[in-house]
Amino acid sequence: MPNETQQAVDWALTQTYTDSLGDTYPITKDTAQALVDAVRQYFNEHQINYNTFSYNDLLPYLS
Amino acid sequence: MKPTNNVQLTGRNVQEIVYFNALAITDAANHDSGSPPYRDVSTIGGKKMLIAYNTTDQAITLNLLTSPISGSGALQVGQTFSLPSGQSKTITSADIRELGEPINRLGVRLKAGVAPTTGSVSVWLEGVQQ
Repeated sequence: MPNETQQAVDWALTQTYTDSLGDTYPITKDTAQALVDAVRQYFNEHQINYNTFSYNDLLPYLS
Repeated sequence: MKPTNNVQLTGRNVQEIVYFNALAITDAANHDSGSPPYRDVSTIGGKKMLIAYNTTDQAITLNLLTSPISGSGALQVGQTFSLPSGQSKTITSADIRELGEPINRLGVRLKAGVAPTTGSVSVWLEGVQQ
């Protein structure tokens, strides 16, 4: 995982997501897919290179 | 005679098996659900249902895998199913006939035709435990 992963996770945990029904919720460590999508968004917006990853790869950054 | 309440509920449990938990795919390669990719589904009787949620910006194809009796490599079973970008899908035996058949081990392979740049894919299986 990139060196910036902790910053990406910390930022993601301040964001919200909207589910398929249109309801908005805060992103937490238990909203796996929204968390991963937000971390990926952070990587993209900060032009950080990364390879395929999953929620399990983020677990060390969630403790 | 006084009635007694002796009704017993002997329900069966729904079992859930997670194949991919938010996999952020960045290429057009095959991605299998582990190495080996198979999970033991022998305790699930009858029909099984896959639920997939694709939040990426590309369509993803899904294939079922099992292990050949020779014990080497992977064997694809059933037809390829497409997960459109930004959608959730339930995949039943109406889509892939083998989900309604008895089978010991099942795995899942995902592949993007074009490398996604956003989002992730989750896939899990649900069925009734025997």
